[in-house]
Amino acid sequence: MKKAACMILALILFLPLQGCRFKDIDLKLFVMAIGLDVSDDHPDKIKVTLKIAIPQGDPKKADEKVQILTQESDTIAEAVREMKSRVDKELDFGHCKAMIFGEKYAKTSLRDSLDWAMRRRDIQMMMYCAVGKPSAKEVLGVQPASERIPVNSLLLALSRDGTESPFIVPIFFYNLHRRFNETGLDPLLPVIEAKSEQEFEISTAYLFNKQKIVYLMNPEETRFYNLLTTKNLLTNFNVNYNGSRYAYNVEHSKASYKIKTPKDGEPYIEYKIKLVAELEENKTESIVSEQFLRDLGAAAEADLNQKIQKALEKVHKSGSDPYGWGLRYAATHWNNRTEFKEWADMSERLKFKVNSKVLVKYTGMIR
Amino acid sequence: MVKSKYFYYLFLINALINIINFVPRGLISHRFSGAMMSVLIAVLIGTLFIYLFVKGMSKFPQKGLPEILNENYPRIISSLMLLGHVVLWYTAGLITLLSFVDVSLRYISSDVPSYIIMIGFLVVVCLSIRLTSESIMYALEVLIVLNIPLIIYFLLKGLLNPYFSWDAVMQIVTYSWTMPSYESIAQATFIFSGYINLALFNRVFKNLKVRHFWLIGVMGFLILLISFLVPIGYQGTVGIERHVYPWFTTADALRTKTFIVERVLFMFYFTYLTLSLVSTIVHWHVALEFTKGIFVSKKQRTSPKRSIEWWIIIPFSILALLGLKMGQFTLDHLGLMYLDVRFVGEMFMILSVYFTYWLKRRRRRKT
Repeated sequence: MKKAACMILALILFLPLQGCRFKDIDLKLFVMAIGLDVSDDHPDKIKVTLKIAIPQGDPKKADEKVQILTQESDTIAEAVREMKSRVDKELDFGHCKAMIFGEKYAKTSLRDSLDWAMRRRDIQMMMYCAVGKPSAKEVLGVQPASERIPVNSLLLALSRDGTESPFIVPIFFYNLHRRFNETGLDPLLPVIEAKSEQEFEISTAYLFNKQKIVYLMNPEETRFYNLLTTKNLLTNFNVNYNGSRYAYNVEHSKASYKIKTPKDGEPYIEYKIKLVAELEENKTESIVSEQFLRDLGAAAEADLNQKIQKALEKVHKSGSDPYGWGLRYAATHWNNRTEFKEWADMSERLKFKVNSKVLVKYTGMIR
Repeated sequence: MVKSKYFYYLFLINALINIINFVPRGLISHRFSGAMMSVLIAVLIGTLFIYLFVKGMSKFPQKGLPEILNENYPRIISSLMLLGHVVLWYTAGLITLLSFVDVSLRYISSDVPSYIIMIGFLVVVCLSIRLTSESIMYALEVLIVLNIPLIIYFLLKGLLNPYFSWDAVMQIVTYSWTMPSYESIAQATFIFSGYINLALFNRVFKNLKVRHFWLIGVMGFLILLISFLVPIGYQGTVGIERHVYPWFTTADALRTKTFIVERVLFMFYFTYLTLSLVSTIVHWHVALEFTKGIFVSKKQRTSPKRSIEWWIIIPFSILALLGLKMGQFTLDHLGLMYLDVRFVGEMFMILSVYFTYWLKRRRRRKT
């Protein structure tokens, strides 16, 4: 009797579960990327572009179906709601993997869009962020011929899952948010340039202070940024030696730095870089000897030291701190109340020293 | 009867569940004002409390708190003391449930009404708390053994990520010499307070001997550091304060390319779902048995009929459903306030055990 009562009770409890309001996959449109621009006509309005993938039955068939929607409104949330009345299915942001800020928009402020994306529960933290040039809408409109899944070409490039270019700085959404708030660490974003309807290029990066864009790193500086912040970067460098050009390919790389404040003298940041490399291109026809490799390494060291030092000085002068030197200074000093003031004071006098070691170890397949 | 090793599981379940019970949030809000120091102090206090309580309870072999109190005090006093403890234990489970319903709503399905999720949890919990103490201990063991490898995987994933900012962590470590406040110490000691369940589970331990108290201290210290510092390494020293559930945002920032699902968040959610349910079961089981201790019949000192359990479980469930009416900020306050009050409750519990022992010995000497 009692058992029966319990079972009936359990069955009754299942009753409210019948209609869960989850929508099936064929009733959904998956937003793969969001683009944000300043409106052309009203400078205080925002133009939201969504790149939407339409679910396909057979994943092996390679015909991607994409829909691009654009809507202008006062807030991002409102623009998304207005777009909902222009499509037939539910918009799902759960698979949104990229957020592109138009160049004009990034020059004013990014903070409101960061706030919106952070607050929304369905937007992932591991979304890739970038600046789109000339506008986010045009970047999202690019459809490379090699693309099989919507927006995948952008994602493969930004995540280093596909191509591994030393000129691309991958920035996750949570990383960007952290950089916007942290004292002593400033945001940077890779720039995606739409070259044509079928091609984009990512090789530069914008530096921000806490408010807006302050500096554009050229491809070389971007590559140095990657060299100094990632371990084992896949790249190559050119070097002039004895009046002709050589190129070497980096196999292992490692970089670290220390902020030094000698009692007598100016504060400086010392970078130590270690590269193990192999010769990739030799324009002369001479046979490579061991001594030659050593000399080439020394020439490469001198070249890198000078170029990286210049690049670091330029970045430092721009007033942005994408490397997080300020945070490192604070993290290694225990005088919590005065450390950031000290850092700000010495920041103007800061010098850079670069100490690189290039070991050209192999000559490649031929001597 | 169970072996002594089950004591460690009681400690571990509380230590692991701290993420749900607002410990990181409490510590993070004090991160510039003494959280690090309070972590150190909490380790000392926590280990000391464990030592004292285990020693104290071993004076009453195979007896739970209800028996100890009912035998040595007049009825009214023992009932009041038990009632106080019931409130504390019930609230512990209630907060875990409420915040997990909140997490489910935020991250998994915002479309399902909250009371349905709560009813689902309540069915599992209420059916399980009626089991014998031994079965609950065995279930606890199985769930912890199953979940710990996953948690270690998440941790390795998190700590080995190149985007994890050790500078941000070190910056907080340099704030170690700031004096802590009472709240932050009380909040940090929560992870050690699994031992207090011994007040009931002492019934089923066969001559309890806890060896390696230092191991508990070291484990507790590491778990505290991890649950406090890892979110800071991902969201930054400043950005972290804006996150409502720091650990779930951190899990969202992790990505696995080749393991089950790409977003670690979902695996993290299910791991913590089982852990928080079993933690609630342990806490409410203690609360249930204590309540039964209040209703022990006066003369025969036999335990009450089993049907009385339902009359305890029904108000438990109704209160939990009413608790859903709480707003986000009320739940926060309740959670943090509970951590503070609980600390006093624990001290009171330890003192009362020693006092009872003293009382008992004096009586015996007199007769």
